[in-house]
Amino acid sequence: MNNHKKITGLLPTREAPAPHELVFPLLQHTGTPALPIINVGDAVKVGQLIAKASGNVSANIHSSVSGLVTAIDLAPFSSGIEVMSIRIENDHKYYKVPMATHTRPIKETPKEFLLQRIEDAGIVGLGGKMIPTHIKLRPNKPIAELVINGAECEPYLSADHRVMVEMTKAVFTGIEVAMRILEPQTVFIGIEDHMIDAMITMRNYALKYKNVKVIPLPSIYPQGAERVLVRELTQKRVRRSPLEAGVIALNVSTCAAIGQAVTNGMPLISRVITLSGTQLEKSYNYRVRLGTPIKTLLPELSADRASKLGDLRILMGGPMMGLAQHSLDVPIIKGTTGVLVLEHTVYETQMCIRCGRCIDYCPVFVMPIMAAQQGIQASECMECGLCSYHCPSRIPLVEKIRLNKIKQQMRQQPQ
Amino acid sequence: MRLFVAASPHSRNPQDVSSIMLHVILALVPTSLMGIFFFGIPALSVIITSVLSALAFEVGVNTLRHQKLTIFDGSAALTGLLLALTLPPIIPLWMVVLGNGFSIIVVKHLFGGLGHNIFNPALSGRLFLSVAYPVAMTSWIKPHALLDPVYISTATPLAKEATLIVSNWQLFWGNVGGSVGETSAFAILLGAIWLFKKGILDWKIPGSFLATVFFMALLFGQDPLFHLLAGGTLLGAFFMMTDYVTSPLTKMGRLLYGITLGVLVMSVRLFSHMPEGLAFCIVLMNGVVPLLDKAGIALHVHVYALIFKEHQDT
Repeated sequence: MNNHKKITGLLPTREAPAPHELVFPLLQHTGTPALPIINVGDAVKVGQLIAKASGNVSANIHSSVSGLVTAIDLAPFSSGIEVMSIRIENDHKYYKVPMATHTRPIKETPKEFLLQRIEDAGIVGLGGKMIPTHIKLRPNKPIAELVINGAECEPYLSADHRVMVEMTKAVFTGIEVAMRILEPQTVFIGIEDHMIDAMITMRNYALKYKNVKVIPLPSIYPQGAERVLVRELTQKRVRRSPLEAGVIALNVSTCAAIGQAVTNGMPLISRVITLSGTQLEKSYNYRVRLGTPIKTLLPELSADRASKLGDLRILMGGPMMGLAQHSLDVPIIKGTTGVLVLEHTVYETQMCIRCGRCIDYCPVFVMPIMAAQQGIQASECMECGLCSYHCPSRIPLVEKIRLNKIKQQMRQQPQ
Repeated sequence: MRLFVAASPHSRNPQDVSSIMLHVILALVPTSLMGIFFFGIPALSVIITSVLSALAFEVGVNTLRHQKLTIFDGSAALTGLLLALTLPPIIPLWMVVLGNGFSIIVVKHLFGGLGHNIFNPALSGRLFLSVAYPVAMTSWIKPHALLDPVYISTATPLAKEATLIVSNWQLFWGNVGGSVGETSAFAILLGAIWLFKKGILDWKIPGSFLATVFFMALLFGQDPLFHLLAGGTLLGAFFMMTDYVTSPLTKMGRLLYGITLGVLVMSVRLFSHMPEGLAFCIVLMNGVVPLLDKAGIALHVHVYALIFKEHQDT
């Protein structure tokens, strides 16, 4: 597979243009939506808490600009549905709320303080799964190994690559915090071997720690998938969550966010995303304020030029697992790893010729065609998309497996 | 500009069904050329007649079934070429056409077309001909025989009563009597290696089959290399058994398929009066493929449970 490696990985991250109106969906994490704690017409500042976590699994949401709250209503969301969102009009003045810095060494800081900082900052898994990090860091069993995911296997994407090169210090502060909280025996940092600069910087930093190992991994999709990465680095095979085997995996961007939250008291209000794709003339990584609608990032698709462009697919995430967007008003959320603009191609599905490639390529030892046709092992699939990618008959295997998964879940728990 | 929404993944491997078929056809070019080199114009005319008639039958069936034309997916041309390679070079051309008719109409399209056929179309066509016209199907000529004014009929090296002694080197280069495309091990291996490199050929079926043949020969005190090189062993192993549609889908099923075929083929060669039963064995095993796949699925799920132990949450 051509990973379109990743021209953007060698270019410095740019600051993204700030929009006039930002949209903050209340559901930017797995779990229950956050509760808004501001009213329409309120003035907010950069970093101000605008929606509070509610329920057991949830995360705080902060404003990334200063300005006025214009509405709390349904707005387009990356998964295609409409989600309750807070709209804020940007006054372009960027008044900040005071942020509490922390200078004590991490090793001497109480665990609860660190976890509270992470929870307050509203940090979720930035690799795309968006599990609230303070929940992930409170495991119900001792953790033997901590895995740091710097593999970033999706084609086109290079945001994690730039984070590792440009924010190494924050990444390692985050790792140190996670080590303090979880007290693992070993920490593995897995990096795909095409990111040579990231490897060198990370290795230099890792020298300070005894039990942190930076390990190069072959650049094969889906190297960065949690189960595959944990298997490569720790030789532990897990069915669903690495926690089963006493392993926790964190993304490098998440670590950087943890680092900034703990040392600077900085809530999660921006992230690095890759803006790329065959239909864009220039590809870069951008540091984007959360809540920025994608149309702000894609001036190339503005109305006067739009007529020249044909049918497009605008993706949030990579080409293998990303979500196609129906609207340019969809905002960047915490789990957005990139925005790709690709051409829209329709593939004609043919009869299965029984070549068995889906079975050969499956990274988690599932038989995709059987899972699609008969539902065998469907629940074990992690939807990496490799079977659909390689199917010469263009059978939408992942789609069918997803359907079977849902059917099986509904059968197990009626209503 | 229009935005489209579709499920992931959003890009596909450019290798689709027709390009796979094209690759297999290209991989068969060396052995076809060797056949033409050794057996001359008759071999060439058998190949051309076979491919063209297969395409013609495909068009005919498509018209009758009110289908879109499927000749461009390359499967019909491949069937024609494979059938040609298993025929004796001096077979009457009308028989070639007949065999292709059986392959395409009966074996492929009466079962539902590409992806539905239970039996390998090319080999079934060959079997049909060898049952219907046993004499024509066993008239072999020596390589370069056409340079002689008189056709010299010869036996295949595998025939029980054969007295001629063939060296393994001759078998390797293909300088022996036999079907158009099965004699040159060298050319077949060339094509097979290329297919391996392209990721089209999976090692499991040919690997397990050839290993079984090798060890069976060793066990019964025969020259294992001779059994690997003679007859249609290699053509069968790399191009007939591995036909996607008629071979097992599961990993374990493939291994079982290769091993069983190896045992079957060697039993025929060692204990029956037929010189070579490869085509019969393969078509026979084609019928067992659904069972093998069932076993393959069960084994796969079992192995999966062994590898991925359920971790108990404490």
